[in-house]
This record gives sequence, C-alpha cells and structure tokens, in this order.
Amino acid sequence: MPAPKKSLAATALLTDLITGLWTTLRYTFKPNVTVRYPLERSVLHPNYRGILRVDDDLCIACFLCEKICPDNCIVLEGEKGLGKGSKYASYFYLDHARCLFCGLCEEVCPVDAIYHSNEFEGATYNRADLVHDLAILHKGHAIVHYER
Amino acid sequence: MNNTWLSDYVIIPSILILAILLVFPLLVGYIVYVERKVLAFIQSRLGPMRVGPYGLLQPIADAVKLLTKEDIAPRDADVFVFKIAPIILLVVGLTGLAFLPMGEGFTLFGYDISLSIVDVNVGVLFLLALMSLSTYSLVLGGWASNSKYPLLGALRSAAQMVSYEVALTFTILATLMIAGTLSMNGIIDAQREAGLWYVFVQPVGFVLFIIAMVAETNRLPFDLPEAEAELVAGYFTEYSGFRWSFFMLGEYAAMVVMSGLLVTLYLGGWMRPFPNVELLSFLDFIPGFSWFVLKVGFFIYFFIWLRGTYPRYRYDQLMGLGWKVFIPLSIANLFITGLFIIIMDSLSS
Repeated sequence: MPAPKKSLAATALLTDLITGLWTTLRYTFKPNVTVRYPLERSVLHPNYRGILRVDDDLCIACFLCEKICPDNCIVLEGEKGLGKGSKYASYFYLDHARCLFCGLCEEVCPVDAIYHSNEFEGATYNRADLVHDLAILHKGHAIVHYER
Repeated sequence: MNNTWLSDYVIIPSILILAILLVFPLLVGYIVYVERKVLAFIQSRLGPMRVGPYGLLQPIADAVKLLTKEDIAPRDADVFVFKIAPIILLVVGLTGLAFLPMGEGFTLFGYDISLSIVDVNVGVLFLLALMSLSTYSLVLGGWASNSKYPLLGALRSAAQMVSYEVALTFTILATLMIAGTLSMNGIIDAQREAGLWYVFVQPVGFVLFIIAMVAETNRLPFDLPEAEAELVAGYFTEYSGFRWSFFMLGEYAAMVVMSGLLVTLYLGGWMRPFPNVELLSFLDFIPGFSWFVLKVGFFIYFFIWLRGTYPRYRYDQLMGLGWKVFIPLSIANLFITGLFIIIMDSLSS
C-alpha cells in the first residue's frame, strides 16, 4: 500500500527527520552488543553443535554413526571386549575437515557416546591435525587461546 | 596597554597561528576518533578499542600509518596539479580558522590580545569566498587523477557545492541585514546589543544554514561525491598516505570553520546564553573560549549524529533539493526578513 501522505506541517517542521534523530540518540546510550573476541567469548546454548567428542567408556562400536554420517567422516573399528562384556572401539577417527556439524551422529548414537561440545575454536595449521583420534575425542582437543 | 603595530599584526597573530597549526592536526585526529566512536555507539557496537585504552591512541596509529605510506601518483596523472589539489583544500580550511572569533580579548603583560587572529571588517564575505575556493581543490584533484571515479566524484561535488553555496549566501544575507555589518566581531556585538542570539530571530535561516552547511562540507546525507559504496572514494580515490590525510584535514577544517561561522552568526559566538540577562551573570566566570568550543563541539557532534542517522540522497534528488527547495526558501527568508526590518523601522520611528 502506498505510504501515507505527509502533511504540510510535518514537512515544514521536519518531524520525521527529528524522529530519526531522536531514535539515533536513544541508541547511542543503549548497551553495545559487541562480544570482544578474543578477550571475551559469548556463552553458547547447550544445544550448540560444536566440536564432536566421544566418551571412550560408553562407545559400543555399533557403527551407527559411521553409517549415518552424510560425509563419511567417521572411521572406526570394534573389538570384543575381554572382561568388559561388550564391544569397544579399538580405533575411532573423525575428520573434522569434512564434518558438517549436522548432529545426526549425536542423535543416532544409542548410548550417547558421541556428542557435540560447545567448543568452536577448531582451527589448526594443517589439515592433518583436523583428523581427531579417540584420545583427542575423549579429552577434547587443546584450544590455544590467543594472548595479546 | 603597550600594543604596537608589530605586536598587533605580527607577533601575536604569529603565536596564535603557530598554536593552531600545532594543535589542529591532532585535534582533527581526535575528531575522527570521536566520529568513529559515536557512529559505533549509534550502531550498538564499540568502535576502536584495541589501540590504547578504549582506542584512544587510534589517531596516533593512523597518523603513523599515513605518514609512512608510499607516495604514489597514477602514471598518466598530471603530477603538479595532483600534488597541489589537496594542499589547496588544506590551506583554505586552515585559513578559514583565522577568521573565527574564539573568545573575548584579554590583557596579558600589558598587551591586548584578541582571540581572533584577524578581524577583517568583511570577515563573512572572506569566509564565503574561501569556502568557494575549496571547490577548486576537488575539481583539480578529480581531474588530475586521470581516472573515471575521481572525475565523476569531482564533477558531482563541484556542482553540489556551487548549488548549495547560493542557498547558504542568501541565508547569511538575511542575518547580515539584521546585524548590519559583515565583520565577525561586529555580528557578535550586534547580538549582544540586541540581547538575544540570532537563532531566535531567524529560526528558518538557522535550519537552512545547517542543511546548506552539511551539503557544503560533503557530509551525509549529501556525501554522494565521496560515497564509499558508489564511487570507491570519489575524488580522492587515487590519493594515498599523506596526501589523503591532507584531504581529510581540509574536510574537517571546513567542518570546523562552517560550524564556527554558524555559531558566530546564529548562536552568539563566544557569548554566554542570554548575554544581557543579569540573572545569569554568575556564569560570567566561564571564559568565552569555552563557550565557543562547547558550541562548535556540539555542532561537530551534530554532523556526526546526522551521518549516523540518515541515508544518502541520490544525486538528482540532492540537486533538485538544492535548486528547487532550498534556494526558494532562502530567498523567501530574505524577503520576509526584509519586510520585518522595514515594518520594525517604520513602527519605531
């Protein structure tokens, strides 16, 4: 629908311009929304799909996550546990370079072994470092915080 | 008082000029800092924060960067004109500062020192002429860069400044008719005698002057000639380093000079509000210079506030406004002011 016609008084007194100036003045004194990374980090929602982690004790090597991954990021091998009573993963590689953080592996895991943490600082200096093995996946990868 | 010709016209002005030349670049650097911070706060963000506490050393870092940049010129550029264009803008802007009356005179060691470097009895006319000269710099800079974006920006800018100068001049004429003198100090004296600032007598003229002032200095919402999104950087695209900083210094000097002219013509210069009201005479201990700085500072903030609020006018809208709205309005203002003066004169006699 067309904009309402401005009255002569509004044009002469520049009402809309002054309303604009008043809005800007109010916003000058409102709090800023900037998060000054790397000095501060924003708090992320618990459902945030960050870097993947695997709880070594829970994984039963059912291969469901490997099958459901759209990008074939996960490679694992299972072995019958001697004295543990169930299968366990002997090795587990997850390529974070290919991972699209869709959350399907987290949803499908029957024992909630694999899950998305809230870490997002996963940059490394070469691609090979992005393939995490079970040790890194269990402990979480080391984040180097930038120091000024 | 032992004022001699030498002290009045050589020594004291030289000291004041030196003071301004030393202080002004640093001042402009911090005006840019204030601009970045105010724009950021309007946009709910923080602005410079890393260089020094709260980004206060940012202008120093910028100055160091600009000074150490390579001084290049385009290969087919007209080198002499290319080099002289920013110098013209800077000189014109700084010269304008000499005409602003910044405070009452005071006596020091027996010498009467006045805080305006020169007191020409056609001060307003001279200032207007200086502002027109700055148009030269833009055109020369745009032409000498031998490149299409600067050329377009320069032509647009020159046309815009010329059109809004007409509106500006008519608006100033109306105030001059009331004041009766072209001298800057004379206008302040006339406001003191009348007992009120001319903004109350000429409200329409005040608003028109502000709009024309924003258009003259190429600031948003009239800054198409240097619009970053449309013309890269307009007429100073090909300039880098120190020469670019000349353009920037000249532009902010023009802002300060125009704000100073506005304050002198409409807001009583360095006088306190309601200068003749005895009730407020307890404010007399505040020196005139502070009032001047306060008022000019407010208008510099106003420039920045306008920049943060409004979108940019398209070029044809800009020229249409200048010729079809502001010039008729300013002529009407002049006409009505003249009528009032005649009526007041015939009523009082």
